[in-house]
Amino acid sequence: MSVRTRLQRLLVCLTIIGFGVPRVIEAHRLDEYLQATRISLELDRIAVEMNLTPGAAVADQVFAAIDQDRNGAISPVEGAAYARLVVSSLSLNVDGRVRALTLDRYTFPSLTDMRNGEGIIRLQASAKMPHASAGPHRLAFANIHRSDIGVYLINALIPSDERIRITGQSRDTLQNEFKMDYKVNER
Amino acid sequence: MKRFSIVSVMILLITLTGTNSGQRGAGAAAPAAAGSTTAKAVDTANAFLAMLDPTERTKTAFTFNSPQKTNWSNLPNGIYQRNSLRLGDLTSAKRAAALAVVASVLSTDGYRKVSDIMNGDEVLRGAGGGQTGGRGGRGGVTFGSAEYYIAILGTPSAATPWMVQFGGHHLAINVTIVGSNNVITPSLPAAQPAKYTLNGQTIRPLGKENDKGFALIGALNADQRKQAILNYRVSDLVLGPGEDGKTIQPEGILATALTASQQDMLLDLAHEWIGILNDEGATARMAEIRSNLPRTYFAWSGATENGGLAYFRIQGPTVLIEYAPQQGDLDHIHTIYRDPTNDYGARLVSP
Repeated sequence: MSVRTRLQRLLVCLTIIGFGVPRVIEAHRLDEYLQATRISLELDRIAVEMNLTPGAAVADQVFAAIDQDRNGAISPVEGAAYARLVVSSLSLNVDGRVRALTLDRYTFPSLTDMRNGEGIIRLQASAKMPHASAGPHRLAFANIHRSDIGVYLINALIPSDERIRITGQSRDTLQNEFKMDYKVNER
Repeated sequence: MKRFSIVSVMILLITLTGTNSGQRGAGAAAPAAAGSTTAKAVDTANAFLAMLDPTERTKTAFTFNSPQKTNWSNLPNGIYQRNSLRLGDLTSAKRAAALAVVASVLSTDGYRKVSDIMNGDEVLRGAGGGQTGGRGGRGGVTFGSAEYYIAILGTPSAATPWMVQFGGHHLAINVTIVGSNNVITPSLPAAQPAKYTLNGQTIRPLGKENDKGFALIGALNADQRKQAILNYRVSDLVLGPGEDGKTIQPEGILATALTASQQDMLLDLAHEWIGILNDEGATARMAEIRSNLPRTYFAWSGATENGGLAYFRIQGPTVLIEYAPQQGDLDHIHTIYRDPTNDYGARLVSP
């Protein structure tokens, strides 16, 4: 055995001995329902992508809202119904006009993962719009889904279309509400 | 002799066994000869692979473009399936060889940070985290230094792309090597507990990140703070695991609105993440970040006095760093470092 190997073996042994242990620690999200939204802007479409992560302590109540027949599993019908419920809690407005969001796709984690506080419900929705005219525009978005336990992140992705430039963003303190100014340049 | 801590011994041993020399501060490393890191990493990786039996090798070796490349997470074993080689399944010699591979692509400080994070998970295990299975014994979640995984994607080579992936709970290291170039994006150093005692010494795996962040916000004047501080709560990473390929609209204060000394503080703060990588790679990445300062932002949310709860973000053309305490817990920190142009070495592989 080389000196290097012996030293590395010693290092491993030293690494695993003698810790001062302060207290019992929880590793996972607990009593919050994290709802992270990212908004993508195109000239004729706005896409909304959401990751919803119920904390371990609220997972059962979120799951109960999904599992309507209480059989411990999320059926396609139940999943679709909950995804639509989430989308119905969202509002999107562009230049003062309401834009209806359509649910595009969604996935649900296992109940076990949700109970561990790490199961992520993923959904995507989008709104089609008339082709945006050149000039300034304003988008307003809000999410009020489960505001009793929800914590929120809302962010705009940098538009892939270089004609669109985001010029300003604002949010309320809890990130329920998001406003974004953007400018569409001539081709 | 009691005061000669285990950490000091570890650092000494790592140095003796050939880890890269550490870089202090934002730029003052003695540059290694071009490609020397790669040569050493190739040798170390090949030596490790040669020790493995066929089953172990199958769990370790992946093609460079395997889906395993994006198979990393902050989550502990039991919740997240990593599909690579678990340290706890190895003999001590093989485990040491695996760690030597990790050390070969990191700086001394970087490897120490990795060790501190793993030791923190050992503390978590000792505190009953592994026994409770997360919450109420439901989950079968396991913690501790045995629960870290290594994978090598591609063939270790001085010319063609390959990657060292190492991680477990609160840790994801993805080092992509292409010739003499290398990157460590995306990577996720996190900590819980954020502070613990090891053989009488206080360890804060991400303590410098915290302290340098607060020092920077503390150095800003009122007008600068007005630009830097977001008026809303940020409760988690925005671009954490699973969010590859996304770039959010930047916010906060532009680095050009900072004084030269504040810019140095910003770079020094960023170096806490970039400097996990070996000196050769880190020097190149820091040069990119420095050259892009006019398009780099610093954003802050939360308390401005050290000891309070705060989120911060550094975002520029080649860097996104987020620091996010979890659920109001100062003892549970998640962070991430990405390069929107170069995650998994994208720019090195396809320049």
